Amino acid sequence: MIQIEHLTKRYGGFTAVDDISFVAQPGRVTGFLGPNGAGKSTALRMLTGLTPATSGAATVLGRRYSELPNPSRHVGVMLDAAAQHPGRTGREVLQLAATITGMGRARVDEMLDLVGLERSEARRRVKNYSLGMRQRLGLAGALMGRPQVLVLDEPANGLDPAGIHWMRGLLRDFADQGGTVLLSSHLLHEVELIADDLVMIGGGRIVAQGGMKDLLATRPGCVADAEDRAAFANALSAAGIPVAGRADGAADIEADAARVGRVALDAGVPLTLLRPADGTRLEDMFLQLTADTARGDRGVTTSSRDAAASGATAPDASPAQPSSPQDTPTREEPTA
Amino acid sequence: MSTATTTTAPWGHTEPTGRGLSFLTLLRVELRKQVDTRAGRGLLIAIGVLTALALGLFMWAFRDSGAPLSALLSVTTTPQGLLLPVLGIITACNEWSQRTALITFTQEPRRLRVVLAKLLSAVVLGTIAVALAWVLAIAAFLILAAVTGQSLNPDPDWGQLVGVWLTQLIAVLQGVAFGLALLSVPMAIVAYFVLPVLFSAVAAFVPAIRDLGAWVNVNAAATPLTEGLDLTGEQWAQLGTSALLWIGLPLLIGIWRVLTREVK
Repeated sequence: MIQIEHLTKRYGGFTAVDDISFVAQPGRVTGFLGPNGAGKSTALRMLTGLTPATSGAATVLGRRYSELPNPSRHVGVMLDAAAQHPGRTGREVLQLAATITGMGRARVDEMLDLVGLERSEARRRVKNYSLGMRQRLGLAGALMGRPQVLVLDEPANGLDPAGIHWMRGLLRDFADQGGTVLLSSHLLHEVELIADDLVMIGGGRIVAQGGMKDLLATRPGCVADAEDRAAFANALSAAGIPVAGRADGAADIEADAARVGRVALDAGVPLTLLRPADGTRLEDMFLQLTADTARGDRGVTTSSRDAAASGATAPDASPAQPSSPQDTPTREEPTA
Repeated sequence: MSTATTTTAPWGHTEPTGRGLSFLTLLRVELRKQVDTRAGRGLLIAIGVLTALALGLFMWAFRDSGAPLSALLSVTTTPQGLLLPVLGIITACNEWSQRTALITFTQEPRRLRVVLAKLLSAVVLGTIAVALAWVLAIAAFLILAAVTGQSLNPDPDWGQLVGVWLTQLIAVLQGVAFGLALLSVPMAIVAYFVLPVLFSAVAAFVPAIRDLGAWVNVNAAATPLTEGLDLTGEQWAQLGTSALLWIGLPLLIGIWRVLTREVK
């Protein structure tokens, strides 16, 4: 179990991590999602004692990381798969980890098998490894000491779809045996595939957290189109239903399909399309966050700040509790 | 593939128990890290080869007259004194250049222990290098004596051996100290070789520093050591003060930097 409480990191006037709190539960894979520069890596470095926190606390298995006896026997950590000495062979990297964790040669072979690195690949120097192979090597190193907790920064980076599928299986097994997994990613799709719980961070602050299933519930509303678009739009506005045009000419409608169908029937407008809305609120929020980052804004814009305020569970609330759909904000176009 | 057996941990207890990481394990790992890369091995081989080369040249020059063991051992100090500091520098800051500090300091969050293990591992390798130099010097002596028909008794001067060993330890420790203080291999190497020259240049123009002499110049203070341990009290004191300045000070700065630096 990993507990993060009001963790904050400031660099001068810049707040990289802003009062984040969450729990990664044993038996579950917790995804830590956010655009690049959102503060994920800084938070994970604070968790593992590599970066001193400005305030707040982080504990693993009930203790501060630095107070664990021989930490790599309890917590498997991979913060950057690329951070390896290029002149070392893969096997040698694992042998060093085995010595630290008090494991023998047999465990090195076992780990190579587990992550699917061939013996011939293990004899090669790390500089000849692809990023995907480095991820596998890093994961093998993290698992070496039979830890109960895994902390992985962007472990799916550089893996092909088959590799991501493989990693999902591995982490699933680990969690099913009671292990705790905390992994970060900047890709929603990756986290969707792997994680049970999700903590979404943007601009250093948690903007949403909860169970993946709840967070991924589709947005209410529907997409519809009619032959006579003008008549359809009139009928909808007469019924007081907000409509937004889509690029493909159809309409995004903030009402469920049954109601829209009845309005069309009453108005005598034949529909050519009627289906549930695309995407999820989570996607919308994530896109918003990513867009803000891409525009180079420090922090979040007003609209997503509102989203953050109303969408996130309060830091004191039970962290694994999903935000209820009512709490999630309705979709808004950025005002900027 | 079943992962059930391989990833299973003793889940029964959640309270982390067990023994901490022993310093001996840490030292073993740090020693291993110095020889398990091509660069690390290459440097050690270079030390051996250059030592042998220097001895070979010396033997050629004295092929007719022969030479005492003490002269041969002195010959080894130049190539070793040049490369052992580089070994110390690489030991101290390689992990920051290669970013493996990220792994090392999650394995052992008590960073001072890692620094001490690195320091000690550099000392161990420096000692091995001096032992190798001594063995090579004896071999060279025996060959030379056989060729010139002189006595085969090397009559080793143990005091000189210890003196040479101390000289090289000073060199390797100074390398580690500079490495820790700068945390960059190229910067530390440049600083190690340029700063003493700069210092001498400044001393040439500033009489106050020139008058301090060996009190503040570790190279000058260590020179008599290569001949043996027959140093005067003043010479030992000069060795102490100059070592404090050139090893102690950068070491303190380096330890402070490593202990407080954010590992990225």
